[in-house]
Amino acid sequence: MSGILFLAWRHAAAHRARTSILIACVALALWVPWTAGALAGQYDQTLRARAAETPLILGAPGNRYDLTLAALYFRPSRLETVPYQELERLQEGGKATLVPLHMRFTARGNPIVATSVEYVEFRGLEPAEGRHALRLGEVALGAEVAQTLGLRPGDALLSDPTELYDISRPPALKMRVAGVYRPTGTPDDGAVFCDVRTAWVLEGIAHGHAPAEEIDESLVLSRAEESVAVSGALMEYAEVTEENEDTFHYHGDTALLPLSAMLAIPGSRKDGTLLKSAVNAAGELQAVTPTKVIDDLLGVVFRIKAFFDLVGGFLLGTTALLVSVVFLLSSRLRTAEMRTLDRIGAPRRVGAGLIGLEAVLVLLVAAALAGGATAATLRWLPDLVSTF
Amino acid sequence: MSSEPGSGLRPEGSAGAHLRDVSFAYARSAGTRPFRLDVEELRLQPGEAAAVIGPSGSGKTTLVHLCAGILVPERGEVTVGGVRLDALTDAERRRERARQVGLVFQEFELLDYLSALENILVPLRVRGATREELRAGKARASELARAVGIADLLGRPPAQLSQGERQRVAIARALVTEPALVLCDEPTGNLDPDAASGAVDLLLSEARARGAALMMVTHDHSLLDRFDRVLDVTSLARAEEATR
Repeated sequence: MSGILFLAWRHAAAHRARTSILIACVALALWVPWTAGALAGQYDQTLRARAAETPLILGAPGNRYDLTLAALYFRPSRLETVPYQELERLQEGGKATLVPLHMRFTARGNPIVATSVEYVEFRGLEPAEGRHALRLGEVALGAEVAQTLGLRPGDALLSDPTELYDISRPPALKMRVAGVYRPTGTPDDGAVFCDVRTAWVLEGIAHGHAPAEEIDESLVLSRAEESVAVSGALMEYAEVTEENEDTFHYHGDTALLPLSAMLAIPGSRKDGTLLKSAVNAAGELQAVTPTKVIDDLLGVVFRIKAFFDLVGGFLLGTTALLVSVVFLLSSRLRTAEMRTLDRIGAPRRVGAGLIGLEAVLVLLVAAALAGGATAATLRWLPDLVSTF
Repeated sequence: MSSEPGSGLRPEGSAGAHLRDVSFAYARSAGTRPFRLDVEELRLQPGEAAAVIGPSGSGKTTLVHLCAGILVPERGEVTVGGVRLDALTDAERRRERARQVGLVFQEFELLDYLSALENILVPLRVRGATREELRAGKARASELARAVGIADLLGRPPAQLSQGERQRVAIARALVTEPALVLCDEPTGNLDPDAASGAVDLLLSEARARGAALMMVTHDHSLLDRFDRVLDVTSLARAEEATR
């Protein structure tokens, strides 16, 4: 070790408190913008990746950001619903495969995504245990949900009641866990997947109860040739089992059952363009290209980030100036020491060399700490981005 | 006798220190009339010890700094250990000073963040000694520490040493490079009479034992009879106007 470096190291080590505070200040000033930058980069990459994988999203007219974020990230929102017949109508057009999405309920805080098997294929979800949720009342869990809730195939999961004190609303549904998906590092890990028919049971549009001919007559309000009106006191099944599955039925027109959104997977780029323009021209629905919506959204986010980068830059500059002041004052306090070294025969500007090397040591240690802290932050806080 | 700048020539038999026809102007204090220090001939043989006396501001420290190469004379030759310091570049002169000259100061001037042993090795550190030189220096430092009676204190920082112990560390530091010349600027000024006497005896014996010439500025006339020579600097310095 060079003599001057040795002296700089020993001085820094001997004044531990001062050196530690300086290192902490510089590390903090570096960690904040580094972490923010890295997280923003990761956020940007993840958002764009998910959007890029999704060609087209269709939904009711309204806020396109809400529609996109709900369809891609299952963000809770008050989206207007789309009747199921729209999906069937567009599907008949043959321009794209339409994937239904219903996301109005949660199970222990996790979004219940009611969809079809096409979604599972489209996103490449593979069961790590069990199988897909194909039957009424079954769910397949994203890896994170399964891990957090400690659930495995064969266990049960209750949906969260939406209106706790409204007895006209259906109660929580006890759903069977059919499988658990492999981790994907996407919002799919944090979702509970089921078939759309299960969502309609949750909506109260479909339900199951004892057959009409077996209902206690005191609960029958009227009987006609095609229908039976029963009292609200009739208990509906809160779980779909093999025994009662056949009793589940819809009331009204199944074509009008609600969807939150649809993913469209066009056969070609041209089909996609035609579908999008046709849908938007009709005006009853809206079709959005996720990458464009996300680009617009990130444009706003990154303008705000640029402002915070500027603030971070000022903070870093201020910290650098304060650290410089500390070293400047230190050099004043060490005048006698520098004079001694000069007389003994140290190279010219040994003082500047000592102070400079000590500053470099502080910066290096601070940068290493900030780098480690940034890596740890990215390691331990991945949910900030992947679950958006 | 002469040497080329930077050549580090060291003619045989030229150890010790030699000032010839040296002239240097200096101010006693800011705003006062400059004085001029003229040294026609001053030679210190290896092992020889000289005391430098004179009133405050008479040029004692200036003489020491000229001998150390800290100051460069306007004319004349300053040779230490056979090397013409006045003919070297600043960087070369610094390197030679770290190699050829040992310095002991009144305030000891130890670095408070280093241990006693590390303080002794500072002259080797600042001149960029190699690992082998440092290893040899550590062995010499241990030997010197035994000689000056601080062998048990090498791990302690200066703050945990008495004034006398600090001065002994400073003496060991001055001798660790095996210099040709040891310069002491009132090294006993902060010591009580007994400690001062002991420190001077120690310096003289260690310098002589190592064949180093020694020049010591002192105000303590009771110590003068221990030196081989006594230089009264007032005989060298005079007001500048007188020379014009």
